[in-house]
Order: sequence, then C-alpha cells, then structure tokens
Amino acid sequence: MESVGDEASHQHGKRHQPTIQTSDSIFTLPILPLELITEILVRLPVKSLLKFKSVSKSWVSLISSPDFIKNHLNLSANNKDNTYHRIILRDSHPPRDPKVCPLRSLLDGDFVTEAYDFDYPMKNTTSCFWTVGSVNGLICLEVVYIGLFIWNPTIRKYKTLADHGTELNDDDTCSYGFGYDEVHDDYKVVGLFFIDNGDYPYDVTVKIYSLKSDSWRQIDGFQSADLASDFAKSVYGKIHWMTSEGEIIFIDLVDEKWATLNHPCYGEDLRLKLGVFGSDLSIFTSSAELWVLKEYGVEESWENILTIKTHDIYDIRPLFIKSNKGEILLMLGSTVRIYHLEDDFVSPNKTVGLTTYSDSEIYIESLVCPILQNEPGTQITQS
Amino acid sequence: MVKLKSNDDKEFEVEEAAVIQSEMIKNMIEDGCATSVIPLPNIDSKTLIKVIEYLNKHINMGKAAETGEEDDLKEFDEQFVNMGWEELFDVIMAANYLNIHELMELCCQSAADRLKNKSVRAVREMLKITNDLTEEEEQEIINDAPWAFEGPEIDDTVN
Repeated sequence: MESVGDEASHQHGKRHQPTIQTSDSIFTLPILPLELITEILVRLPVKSLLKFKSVSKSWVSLISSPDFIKNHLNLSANNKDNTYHRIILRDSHPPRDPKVCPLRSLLDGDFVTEAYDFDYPMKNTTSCFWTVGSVNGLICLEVVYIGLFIWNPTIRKYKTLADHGTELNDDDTCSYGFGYDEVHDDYKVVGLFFIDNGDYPYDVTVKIYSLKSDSWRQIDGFQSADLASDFAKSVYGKIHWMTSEGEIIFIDLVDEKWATLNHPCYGEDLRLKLGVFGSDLSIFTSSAELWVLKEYGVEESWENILTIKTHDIYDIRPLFIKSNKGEILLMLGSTVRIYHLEDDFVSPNKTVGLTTYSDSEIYIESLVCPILQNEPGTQITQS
Repeated sequence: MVKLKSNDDKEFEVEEAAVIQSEMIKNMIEDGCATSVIPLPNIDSKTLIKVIEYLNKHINMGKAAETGEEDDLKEFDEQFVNMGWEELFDVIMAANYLNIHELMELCCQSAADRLKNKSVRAVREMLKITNDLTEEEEQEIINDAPWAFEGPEIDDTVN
C-alpha cells in the first residue's frame, strides 16, 4: 500500500507533488501498515475476504497468498467458539439431499437449529454421494457412478478428479481416504480396490491420487486386509482403516508407506468404530467407550474420555466435544444430540429441516482452493 | 511500579504485574533497562491511558477463570473496544508496538467484526485506500465469486 505520492517521487525524483494528484491522494497514505491490515483481515470470514479482494491490488495479492490462506485456516480451525466449523448432514430418506448448518448452533444453547439445503457438485444428477473425508476446508466427495470431486463448499469451487482407471465389476468393492500431505503441500486421495477373482483373499490394488499432479499412481506395500468398514479416517496426514481383526492400518501420505497403529482396545472387541473426534483419531467400542489418541504417534496417549451409560450404543456416533464443558455432540440413531457427561443426560433433538440422518461431515470454512492457478475450474452457481 | 512516558511527555505509573503483559516491556525489565522512565515515542497519552486501563483490568487474567470473573472480563472487553475507528487503530498500533498479544487479538477482532459486512466502497473509504485495480481486474474478481458481493447484510455506511 504505497501512496501515489511516494511512487511518483521515487520514479521521477520530483520535489513537488505531481500536478495530477487530486486532494484525495493525501488520504491514500495508509493509516495502518499492511502488516496490521493482515492481522485484521485474517480474522474475517471467507465471504468477506472474497468480497474484499476487490478493494485494491495489494489486498487481492494479500488475500490470495498461500501464507495468508494458511494463517486464516489456522485461526479459523482454532477458534474457541467453533465459529467457522460447519456440519453437513445427509438425509437417509430420498431424495437424500444434504443439509448444512453451523456447528456452533448445534453446540450452543437450547435453540433449534435450521439445517439448510445447499448445492454440491453434480447435484442435478440423481446419483447419491458419500463424503470421503474433509481436511483444511476441502471435502472429497464420491458421487456414485460419476466420480470423485475435491470441493471447497465455502468458496463454492470444485475439481473433478481424473479417472483412476481401475475397472470395477459388480462384486468388486473400493474404499477411499482423503488427506493432506503437509511436506509436499498436496492433497491426496488413496483408493483401495478389492477385486473379486473368485478366490479368497481378494486381489487388492492401491492407487494414490495427487491433486498437484492431477493423476493416479499405483503403490505397493499394502498387506491384504479385510476392512471392518469402508470409511477411512484421516488425521495428521495419515489415512486410517479399521480391519475386521480390530487392527488399525494406515498409510502415511508423505512417504506413502503402510504401517499399523497400536491401540488399547485391540483383541477385546471386534466391533470397534474408527472416528475423528475434534482433530484426533478416536475409537468407539461396543461397550460405549470413546477412546481418543490425544497425541498422535504416542501410544500411551490413548485416553478413554467417556463412557456413555444410557441408550442403545449401536446407534451412537460421537462427533465433537464442546471445549471443557463436558458436553459431546453425537448422533443418536438418526438425530443430533448433545450428551452431558456429568449427569448422563441427552438433550432433545436440535435440528429441523431433516427427518433422519445417515451420515455427517464436519468441515472448516477456508480459502483453500482445489483448483490450481491458471487451471480452468468449476464454480457452483447457487442462489 | 514502572513509569511510562507518552510522546506528548506525560508520565504514567503502572504496576509491574500489569505492565509485563507487554512482552516488550517485560523484556526490558528482565534486561534491567527499565530502571527509570520508559519513553514510548510511538504512543500518545490518550492511547496510553486506554492501554493502561486494559492492562490494569487484565492483571489477574489467570485468576478470572477460577473466581468466576470471566463474564465480568468479557463485558469489560466488549465495552473497551466500543471506541471510534481511528482510536481503535491507535490502540492496535500501540498493542503491536508494546507486543500485548491479547489486546492485539481483541482489537483486531473488533476491527474485523466492523468490516465484515461492509461494502467494498465503504472499506476503501474507512481505510482510506485508493482503488488501483482496473475495471477489468475488478470485474474479474467479482465474477469469480459474485455471491460474495450480494446479500441483505452488505452495509454501505462508513462508520
């Protein structure tokens, strides 16, 4: 934000103000240095920032810069009121349209929250979709029979992934995971393709997609395993699956190597559900214990943070903890509730606009763009 | 007690426990450079009074949570940032210079909240920024996310 006067005098070495200057130019002297403007802008919601890109040249380059986008994401993710977290809920009954609402409205107060309709890639097709995962404000979607998409619902942009090129027949299955490789600053999708060759175990092909290269590569090193669930869980740049033996296997997106992760529930219970709780990996056992890996990579940091005493546990999916208040957001059957730890109480259903939910995905509002610079992308136009 | 001097030569005495919320002054005290008056050539007395008011109120921040004074402090913060735009900028610059993290965060968030729903024209006027984008560049930015420029919340007033 240099003033017009400064530029003119640098260029021409004139002592006097150029005559083209109007009296307004005096006020172009910045009151706040760009460093402090940055401190303010980084605290704005995404919609405001997209609007304020058109303030001036220095603002557009600031708001588009990778450092700014990263700082903005970190502040939004760590906001103590969860102001920038949103949750997508999907109706389990046709037409199965997804709805969205601020996470905070579900966590706060006794108000009933309205969940809104919103647009998503390929909405006009009749295919249903699954969310593969969410990281840094990006959501990976699988639209059945159509393909995979990496989508930022906040900036309303998405990228259609290249075809993975593995032919799947009716009896074949696949499972995808989505995460962020911080070292290479790349978003990656891992696909496990289980090919039914008429013989057990299935042939497994593993492919990894990189957003930067927009291509799939086959990788080795996967020890064939039966998955307990097709849903992969991604934290700290690693994608995890629960096997039918109750073992957690994961791939590190940085070196693309497979390993197993020890956990305290191994061997006791084969109905373990893997989850992401807040930003940590979690296990929900069939005796309604929620275990959270507080410090990734430190086996001793698995902590049993709660045991839900009442209700049919087969129907419970813990989603999010309200900071320090002993309250947990969870799905109970097909409703979203708050569980109060201290008095073992479940609040009444808090959402309207949906009848029953089948799954949910929490994401953060961010400026992270799935489309690389100078690449034609797709924008969702929506009212 | 620590003595601070504003750029209009007014002196203020502040308790050490309060003033060390400023990383800059804390470092000076630790280095033994705060034996006499600390001159603050970037801060006028009006702004310094505001900053000291904040420091004195937040002196027992850590204790507030235990004694249930959290709400009281929250209310104070809300009242504190209820000031004019220019005054808020002065406090932001002072908080940045003195390196008072919490005050910086409070004031920058307040500035962000005020700007959030403003129109582009209003922001340029409030921050005295000249639009140096060409019409085509500006249109391109609007076309990239036209929905960000629409909505009942958009406020074209300058205050």
